[in-house]
Amino acid sequence: MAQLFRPNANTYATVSLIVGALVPFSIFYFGSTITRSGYNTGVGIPLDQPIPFSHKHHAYELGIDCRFCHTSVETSAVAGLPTTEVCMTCHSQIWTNNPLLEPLRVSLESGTPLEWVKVNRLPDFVYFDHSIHIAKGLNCNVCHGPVQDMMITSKGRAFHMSWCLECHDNPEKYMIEYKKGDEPRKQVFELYAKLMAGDKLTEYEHFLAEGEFREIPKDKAHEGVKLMEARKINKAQLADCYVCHR
Amino acid sequence: MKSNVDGANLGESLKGKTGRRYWKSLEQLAGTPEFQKWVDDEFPHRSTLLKLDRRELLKFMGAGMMLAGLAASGCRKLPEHRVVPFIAGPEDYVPGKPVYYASIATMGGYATGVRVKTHEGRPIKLDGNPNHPASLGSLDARTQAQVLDLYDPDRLRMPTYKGDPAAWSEFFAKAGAKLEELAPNGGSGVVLVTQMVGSPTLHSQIQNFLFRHPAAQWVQYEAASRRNMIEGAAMALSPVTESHFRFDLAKVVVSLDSNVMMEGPAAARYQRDIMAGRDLGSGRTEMNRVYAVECAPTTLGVIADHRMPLRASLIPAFTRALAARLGVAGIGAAPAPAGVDENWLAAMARDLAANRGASVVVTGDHQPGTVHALVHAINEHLGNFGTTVVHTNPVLPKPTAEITALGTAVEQMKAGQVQMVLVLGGNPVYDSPADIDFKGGLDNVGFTAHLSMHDDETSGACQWRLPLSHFLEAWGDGRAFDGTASIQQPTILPLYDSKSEIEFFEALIGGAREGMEIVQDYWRGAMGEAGFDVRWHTALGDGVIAGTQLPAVQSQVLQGLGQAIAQMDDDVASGYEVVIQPDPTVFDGRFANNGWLQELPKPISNLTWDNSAQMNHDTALKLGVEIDKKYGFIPADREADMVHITVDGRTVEAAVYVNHGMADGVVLLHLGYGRTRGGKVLLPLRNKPEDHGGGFDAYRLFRSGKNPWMVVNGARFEMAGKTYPLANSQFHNTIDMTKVDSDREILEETTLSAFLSAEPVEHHENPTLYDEDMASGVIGKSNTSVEDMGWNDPNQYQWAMTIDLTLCTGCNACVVACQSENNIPTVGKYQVQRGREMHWIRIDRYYAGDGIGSEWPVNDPVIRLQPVTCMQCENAPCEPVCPVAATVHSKEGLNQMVYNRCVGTRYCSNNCPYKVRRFNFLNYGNHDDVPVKNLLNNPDVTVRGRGVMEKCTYCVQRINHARIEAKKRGDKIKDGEVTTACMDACPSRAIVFGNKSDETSRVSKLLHDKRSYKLLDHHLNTRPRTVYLSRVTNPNQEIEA
Repeated sequence: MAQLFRPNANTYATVSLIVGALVPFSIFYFGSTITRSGYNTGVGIPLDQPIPFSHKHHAYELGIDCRFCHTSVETSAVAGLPTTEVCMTCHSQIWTNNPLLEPLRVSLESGTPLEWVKVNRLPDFVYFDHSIHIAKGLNCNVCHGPVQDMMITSKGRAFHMSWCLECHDNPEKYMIEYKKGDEPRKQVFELYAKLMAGDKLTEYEHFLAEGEFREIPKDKAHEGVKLMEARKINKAQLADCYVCHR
Repeated sequence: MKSNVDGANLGESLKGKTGRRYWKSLEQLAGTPEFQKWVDDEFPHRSTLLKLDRRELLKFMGAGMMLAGLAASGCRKLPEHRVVPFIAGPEDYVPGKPVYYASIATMGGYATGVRVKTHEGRPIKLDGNPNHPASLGSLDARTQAQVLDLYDPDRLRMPTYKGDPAAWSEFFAKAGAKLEELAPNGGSGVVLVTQMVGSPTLHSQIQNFLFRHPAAQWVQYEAASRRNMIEGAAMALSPVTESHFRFDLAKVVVSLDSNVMMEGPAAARYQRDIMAGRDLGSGRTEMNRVYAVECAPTTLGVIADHRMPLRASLIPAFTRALAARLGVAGIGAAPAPAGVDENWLAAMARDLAANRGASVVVTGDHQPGTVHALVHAINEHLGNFGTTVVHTNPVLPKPTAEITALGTAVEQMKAGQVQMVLVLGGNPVYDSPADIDFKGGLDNVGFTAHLSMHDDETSGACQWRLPLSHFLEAWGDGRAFDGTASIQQPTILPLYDSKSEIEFFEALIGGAREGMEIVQDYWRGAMGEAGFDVRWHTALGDGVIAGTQLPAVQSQVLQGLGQAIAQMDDDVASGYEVVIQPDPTVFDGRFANNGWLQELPKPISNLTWDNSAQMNHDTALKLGVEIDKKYGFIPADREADMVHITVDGRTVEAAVYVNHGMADGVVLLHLGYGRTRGGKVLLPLRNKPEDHGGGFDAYRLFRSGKNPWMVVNGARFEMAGKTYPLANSQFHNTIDMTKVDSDREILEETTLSAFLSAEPVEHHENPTLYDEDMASGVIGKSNTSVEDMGWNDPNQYQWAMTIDLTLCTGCNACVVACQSENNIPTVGKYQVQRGREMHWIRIDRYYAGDGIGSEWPVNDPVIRLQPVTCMQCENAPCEPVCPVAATVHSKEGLNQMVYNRCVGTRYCSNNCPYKVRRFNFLNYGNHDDVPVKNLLNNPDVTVRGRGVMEKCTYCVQRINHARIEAKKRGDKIKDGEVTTACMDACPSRAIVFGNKSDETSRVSKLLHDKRSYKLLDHHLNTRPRTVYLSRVTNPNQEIEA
């Protein structure tokens, strides 16, 4: 009887063993890559808004403070969106005939509010509070990405819980002063002041402006710890479930 | 009425069960296996769809996982959400922050101050207004639940004429024309039917209307009115006044079949005052003493130091006997009614006499006017007038419901003398006395209209059905029990095309003012133009109009009252008597479509969704209720026998509920059930009537005669030969007492004298039995030792709660407050029967007393109440058994329940000795079919879905808000800054919450009070954070001896 397998069968066997071992890993790898990509999370994908509002133009080029429009960011859980009248503060005077602003004018005239598409949304069981994060000196870009560079606003982070916990577990690794001695809530907006003034940024600030999320440099670690204590951040309690879920 | 008591067998299973054990029902006392099932099984009545063996189970699991994989939520795009900012932001509005308004809720014509919490323009919770005399910051269950009525999907949405949609303008055109037509006769033939009118603005409008149409009739009717009280005042007092009580000054309170803490316009206030006199929390060493003589257990009777069950029809005789012992002029000698312990009565009389000017005697709204009159004489005799009993002119313009006038009006309607009937609010077709055929009258009238929130029985009988605005949608005003006026301000625009009574009248007389202008115009007239704007805004902000309280009036008891009363003959029952009362939850039926109130276990009886014929065990036996042959008593865990009760040829069919502690021979019926129209909640389900309550209509026995509340003689009883399933939550979540060595682990109680002479108790912490290896096995906390868990780490807030059992009356205000705050769904009768109610707080009712002694002792048992909620154990048994770490401990001592981790194994609940965890079996919180109900949800609390365990969180959303605010201030949370919803609502102030690592906080002090004890802690070492303060009573030594 002739041999059932030719010599090259060995090769087939080896290859299929390797492939067979790799396939689950690849599926897992691709699956998780897709889940974590902007395709699924929406990070970095500009959304179609009624008016193509540019943060880059308003916040960076014109230097309007975040809080001019997001009025309640320091006092409330939600930052708030500008009312039609707030937009009209300027746009009743400038760009009054711009067709892009037609929906704004219609809104004021007809009394129907603008409907913006929500960019950052947390699940219903997550209770995030803007005001406390501002009060503890956290820059907007940490969570929202390079807002000052966004022509059309997109999501800056996927808001995975593990990402939240990086900071909530070890807040000292993300504590930094942009301007020595300022109170924490002023620190928040210091980065933008520097950007606007064209000041030289430290490496960390540079990455933050680019929208990259990283720990403070190792050599500044002791400063982070000091800042955490100065800002009375209760590290022990910060990772309790009930802080965000209730 | 032949008794079928099987003498040989009666109480057989209870023999020898003596000693002061606490028991929830006779089944527990006897230790029946049926009851033990409720104790042992955390989820009795759960049924499996399929009887599976292991192999099949694995097959299904595999298939389930495959299907789950196919439907994996990760594979779909998240839906797009919109954010919609304002056009122009309201002044002072901060997005995401609640706004609070002061307003009032009105019942029976009297106002109670409320503080309305609104979120983004939606009213979501009602609290008491601390400035308001009827509230002082707390609020009863019924008023709190009215926020649910606002979002009731069954509300009338638009005016209809004979069932067809119509416009308001159409109605007013037709009504105007009709009024014009009748104008030549001065409006003769027009009948206005209103509820009790307390609003000064509305009253002035009605007067205005009557001025224009002088021959028109205005009939004021409400079933639960204070007619007897007014009658008594008219009989006894000169000038005729309304009495208010200063219970805060009273050292002795005697209740003659009343419950001032649950009925009347100042119930919450009176509860506060009475219980403040019993609060030992702030180092006080004095307590008032409460005597309750009553036909059925009430919340006041439960807290009383001495309670005596007595037939309602014997109360007049008892009152006379008391007056005689006190020496009230003209009474002469009066024997105590049969069955009353002479020593008891004499001791009580001596106690009253010893506290002249510092005692109060009260009687109930259902007692006849003569009793009220005699009570006035007693109070005057005791020197209480001007001290603990204050008189003012009547608060309401027409202080009493006009049953006679209603009867006359109906006669005229039937005689064709009436052309137009306008019914404003109320539901007279349903709640008028049985001998007044209001519907028959309406059918004979050419123009009928009903202004109502629901399409109810009266709407059904009227041509025009007009939607009424909820009090949270409309401007108005009202007066509190002491006359203090308040403005009712709306907190939301009307959800539907509805009008308030005030707007209705304005439009009816052709005016064009808005609700606010009408109310403002009235008060501008009343307060004067000078500085009106400032005073108006102050009144809105405060919730009360300063200086409007009625002044005290000197009132005296008429000469010769004693003689007159002494000569009167009482109506004494020869057989069984029927007592009718408004329901403790749905009241006169107006809240029958309110799911929160329907599902709220009624105080003491713990019944939900139904009313019943309540009587004691003896009476039930004598009426012919079958005893269980095996155990020798009437079990409460089987379907209830039904009885036919006939009065004046009208019969109701009621399920018998054995209520231990009722007086012999009394059958208590509650009004408010048996509704036939007006919403989905109050109606039996069409396909499964037995799954839905609805009860029976006790109004069929409610008569327009002298005292509608009692049928002393002439009621016939007959067993119906049928049974009815009652949904009673008394068995549910029973703490296993069989494994407890001493009842002191459940309920501790002592007397005031023993408490004062007792040595301070050393509170030692139990040695820990907590398995450190097990603790370290908690997922994600691999290196955590017990010490690291941070129990009592003084650098953290350590939250704790005390519940003072001396002060708890079981009024249920906390249960509704919790439901409202924490988005707790209702489940319906069928689910309650299975023990699946979702309330995070339950109020356990225990009886104590010997099983069987010389006589049947359960007719007068000791009744004890205990609110139980998650104890937030430091050593929580639920935590180690959760396979997914969905319940874990926080650094601040909270036992956290993480809904989004929970996979619904229910192990935690099974391991909880307090049985305080609630499992959402059927997505009860889902309102997709009625989206309007979603508006009610508190946005600070997750709406839990199906398959998730939930429980009390110590209102962690409030803790978090306070913590964030304190951090922003750069400060610590101050004592009193965080309150839980239950604590806010409690009129007795029995609940105290706070940070125990702050030695100066109220809760810290109470934790070290010598009364404090921890439920089951000796036995299980669970180290609960919720600590009870034992119940202290102040018995009269003379009676005790």
